[in-house]
Amino acid sequence: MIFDLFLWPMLIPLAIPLVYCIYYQRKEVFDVLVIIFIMVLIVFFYIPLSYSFYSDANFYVKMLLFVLLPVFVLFIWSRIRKRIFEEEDIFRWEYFGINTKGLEKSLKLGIVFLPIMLFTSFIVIYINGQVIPGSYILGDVYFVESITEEFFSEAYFSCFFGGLLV
Amino acid sequence: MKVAYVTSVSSFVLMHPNNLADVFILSTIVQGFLTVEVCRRSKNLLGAWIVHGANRFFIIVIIALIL
Repeated sequence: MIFDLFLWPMLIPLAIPLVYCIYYQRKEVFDVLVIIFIMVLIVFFYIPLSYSFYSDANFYVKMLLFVLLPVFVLFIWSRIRKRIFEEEDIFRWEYFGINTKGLEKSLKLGIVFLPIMLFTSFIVIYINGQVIPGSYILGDVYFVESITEEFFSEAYFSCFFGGLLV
Repeated sequence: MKVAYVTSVSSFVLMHPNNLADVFILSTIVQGFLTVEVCRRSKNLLGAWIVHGANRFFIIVIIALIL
């Protein structure tokens, strides 16, 4: 089994909410620690699983590590948290941005921002001069798989950090 | 909210360490800001998924045809 912690830089930003919560929101420190625990698991298992279940775009590994594992751990933690602090359940799908509310606005914003993104990518690839040879099938797989990174970067940090989606 | 914003964008950028020493980091940073901005304004992941997914499809399929 190959171990490579090459994703470790993604742990660095977690210091921001951790320090913030230590100073201003003591109770949420536990939430941040749970997310750090999840991120450490992702960093640790990403490469071994990627080599074990290799598929184009790493679809299964990313779905498992970036979506299913965190959702499962956060679900368990929310149940424990509810008992400890005797507060309302913090595990709600809308906290992850999974709901019908804001669907149309989100879609419109996505379409509005898309040309900026495509133009940037075109310029970067043009400067770099390195075209990635692909296929329609691979493009489709990559399209679908990108939701895992969205889940990762937007949903979890928003869920407990009083942030973007709440 | 600022904490979540900064953490989201920086984590998105740093989860692509292979791009850090490459010009592709510019594209990753722009993508990080745009997707987080969609989520901040709409409270929904769909638009961010469209931006990210369509960009990947564009890089892999369309640009390969153009260049």
